Amino acid sequence: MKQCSIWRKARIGGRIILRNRENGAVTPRDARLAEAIAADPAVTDRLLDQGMAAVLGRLAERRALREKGREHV
Amino acid sequence: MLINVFGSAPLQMGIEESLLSNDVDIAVRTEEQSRIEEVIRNAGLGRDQSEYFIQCRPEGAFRTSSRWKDRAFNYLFPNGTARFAHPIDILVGKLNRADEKDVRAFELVISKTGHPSEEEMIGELRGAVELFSVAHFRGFDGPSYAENVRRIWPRLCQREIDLESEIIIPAFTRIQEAYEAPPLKEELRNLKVKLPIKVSYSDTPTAE
Repeated sequence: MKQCSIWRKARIGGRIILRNRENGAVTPRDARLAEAIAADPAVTDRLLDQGMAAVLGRLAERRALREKGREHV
Repeated sequence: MLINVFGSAPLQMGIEESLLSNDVDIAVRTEEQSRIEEVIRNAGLGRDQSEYFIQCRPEGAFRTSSRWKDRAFNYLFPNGTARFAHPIDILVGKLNRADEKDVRAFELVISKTGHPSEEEMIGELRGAVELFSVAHFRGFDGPSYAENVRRIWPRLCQREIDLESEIIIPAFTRIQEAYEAPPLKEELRNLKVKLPIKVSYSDTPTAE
């Protein structure tokens, strides 16, 4: 499914924040992207918040699928 | 066709027959208004045609809680639907004018049904907080919704009401929560490059 560019940026920004919060790691690429996303007026705090929730939700879905797969083994 | 019925008629039909009014207020979509007006005239139920008449009001004239369509009573007839507003929404709408007749309608509904209680009324007005900001357009010289509520509150609830602290601020605080977000852009802006620690081979414990 094609995502709108603003929403994609919000998800990328959300993923960078989550990675940083989890292990404090920020690669030069992350930092460049973070700077660009923070400077983009279309990407708001609210969208970043939703982006983080979407990334976490996707991880949770994958985890649930893995658990389900294990049950069937 | 969908016909919205509001004003005193649904109160008279559903709650108290003595709540007489000579007109039945209805509203339809703007593009259907002239057609329905023609139907009313042809039926001899227009203003100046009958003692009891139907008045087709402009769409949006019934200013009340945004919940009103959720709890209206829908009467289906073969080629359309009549949507009767719930009494609480009619009463909330009556506060736009709050004439003596409107206040009496309030008192009558409360005496007949026990509703709305003071607590229910506060909840409803919080849910319809937009009404407090509508009546300030150019050309409007009547009392505002807020003034009307302040004026009639002592008569209905035997006390004064502080609109800001009891209705407006709690309502807007709740709405605001939907628009608030943590300052994540600031967090992104402050990120500094910090590479993950890599373990070099020299650190690898070797077997003795």
